[in-house]
Amino acid sequence: MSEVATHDDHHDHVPSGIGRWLFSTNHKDIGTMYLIFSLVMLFLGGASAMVMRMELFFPGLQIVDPDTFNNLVTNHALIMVFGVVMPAAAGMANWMIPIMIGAPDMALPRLNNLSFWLLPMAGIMLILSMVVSYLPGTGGQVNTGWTLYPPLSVQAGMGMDFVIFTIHILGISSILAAINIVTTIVNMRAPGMTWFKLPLFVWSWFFTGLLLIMIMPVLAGGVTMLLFDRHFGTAFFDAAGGGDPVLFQHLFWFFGHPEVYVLLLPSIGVLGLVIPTFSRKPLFAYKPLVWFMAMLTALGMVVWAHHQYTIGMSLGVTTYFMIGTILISIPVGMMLMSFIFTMWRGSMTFETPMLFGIAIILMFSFAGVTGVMLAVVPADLQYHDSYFVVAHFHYALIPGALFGLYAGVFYWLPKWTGHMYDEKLGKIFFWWTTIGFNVTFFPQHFSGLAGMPRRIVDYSPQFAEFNFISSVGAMAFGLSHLLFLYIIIKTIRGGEKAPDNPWEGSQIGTVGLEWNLPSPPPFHSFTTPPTIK
Amino acid sequence: MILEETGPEEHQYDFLIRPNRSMTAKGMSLFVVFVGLAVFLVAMRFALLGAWVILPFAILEVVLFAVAFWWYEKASRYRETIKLSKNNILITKESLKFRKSWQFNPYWVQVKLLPNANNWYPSQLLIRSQGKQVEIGSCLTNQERQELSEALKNAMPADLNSTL
Repeated sequence: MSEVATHDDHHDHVPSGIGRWLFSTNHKDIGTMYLIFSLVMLFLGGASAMVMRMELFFPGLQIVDPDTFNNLVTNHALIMVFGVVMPAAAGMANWMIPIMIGAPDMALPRLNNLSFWLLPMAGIMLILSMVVSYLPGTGGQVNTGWTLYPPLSVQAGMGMDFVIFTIHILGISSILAAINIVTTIVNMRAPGMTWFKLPLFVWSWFFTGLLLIMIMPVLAGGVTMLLFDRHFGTAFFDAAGGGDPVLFQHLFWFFGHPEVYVLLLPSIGVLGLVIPTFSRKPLFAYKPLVWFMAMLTALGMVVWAHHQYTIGMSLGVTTYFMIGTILISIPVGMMLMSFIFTMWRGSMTFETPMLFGIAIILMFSFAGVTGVMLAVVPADLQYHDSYFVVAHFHYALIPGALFGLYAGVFYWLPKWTGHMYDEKLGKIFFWWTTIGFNVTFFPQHFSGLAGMPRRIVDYSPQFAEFNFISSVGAMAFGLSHLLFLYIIIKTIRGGEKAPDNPWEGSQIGTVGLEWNLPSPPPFHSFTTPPTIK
Repeated sequence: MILEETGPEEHQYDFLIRPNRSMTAKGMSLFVVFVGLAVFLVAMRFALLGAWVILPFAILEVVLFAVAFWWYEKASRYRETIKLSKNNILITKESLKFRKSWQFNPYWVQVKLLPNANNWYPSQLLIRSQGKQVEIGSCLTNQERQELSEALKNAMPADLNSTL
């Protein structure tokens, strides 16, 4: 019988060799590459933090000079924000969103390939920005911190140009990923997967994608203006030429504050899956939670200048930003309450993802409280640029973003690898990293309140005890990640076979379709859309 | 998605099969305009403050965003039509890139639904006759393909049903 117009049965075909990864258009492979990239960068960013904390073990200069220290401050932030949290969240989005909504792949798979492969290029350029400053005639280190404020950034050496182009490349990568994810969610939901049946993780990425689309052009424009001021004789940020350095601060924080929600929202999305699963109850107030996410996205766009209270804004403007910032505690508080009520009277069990979930609720609430303190103008004028701010945003971003991603990794590792991770080691990692984190950053509230400035290589001996404790905690926190790496490698290499649905409670509430697939899912999944009832 | 219609003549059925698309073309346009406008307003505000460099980046991004949706919309315009009358079955597959038709005589045709053995990979719905076969409804869900198969069998001339 001659064959006419039947499609090839290509479902089992898996490309091999390096080409599989270089030219991949498969959302799972690209997701895996994103996750591996962010893991590598986690160790790079972590190593820079370790050097900083080693330097700060005792007062006085120990191992690095002030400019190198400040360059480490810059790179640590850029790596952690752009190289770790965003790629890890994008990796999870790539892996999970298509199989959650029943789509065969991302809407624009080739674009997906491009948005990943821009990242290693940007990573290399960021490393070069640090290395290049040690070459003769290149004008010193990038000592501005990640905020890149002029005039210091206009005067900095050649490394700053590398940082600017790094941000451009990372920005392009983020925009392409965001466009792809939003297009996928809007267009490729399986029949019956209506908006209010979407798992919270998908919703969180929908808002994250929109936020990225809104803010990235402003960052790109801001750093380009910086480049123009540095090399082409413009004076956007030079008061002597009629410009205004404060304009850059507005541009940066118009991007920078919503960026906090870009980092945070995907983890809230993971929590929206982990908490109901291990409480064995549907997510409490799912629809209001989605609306609160929308409210957070909208409010997050219009409160950026609370990072700049000390620049001398008018009373009216300052009051507006103060009230707006305090208002943000409403949607965030409602989200956390929603998770707490989900746990209320649930049949809770405490597997590693759930432990991280509970820790996030506790510790992120703590960041919320210090956040409200910082939102109040008269108080902020005292706290500004002190270690109190460092403690606040690490409490916001490590539990709020990083721990959420850890929860996601442990929650989905069985699905990704087909093997169960070692629960005992997972719990050891949880306690080790959580205690290490708190020992590192809790004392920084006190050193900050006592007046220790941030971004400083040396400090007054009166802060010695707090810094010593912080550094001990940081070493423990850093080392715990070797165990994290070991658990991941061990799970990939083997272990107990994971069932299709390894978590008893994962089918409760607004669930995705990922648990209908085998563990690990086949290379091509949902080539025909499933039906959701 | 299957749309079934009965034609003006006796015993004439038209089937239209399209892949799932969770937002209509109009919805996509409105969404792109809404997001584009928001980005443009932000960029305009900063441009008025002197930061005009943001504007080209914003325009470039909105164009890219619109192109992504347009591209997807274009790619998902694929459709299959089946026109069934007493003496003829005309199957047409078309997208923006190609258009191809097949004709069969309904008296000699077999409608065959081949389920996948482990029920994981999609089933296949084939129209076979005299050594030729065409797969239809590959963009449908398994359940929809089953329904299409039943509908096609029922639409065949009555005296042939028993042989299908």
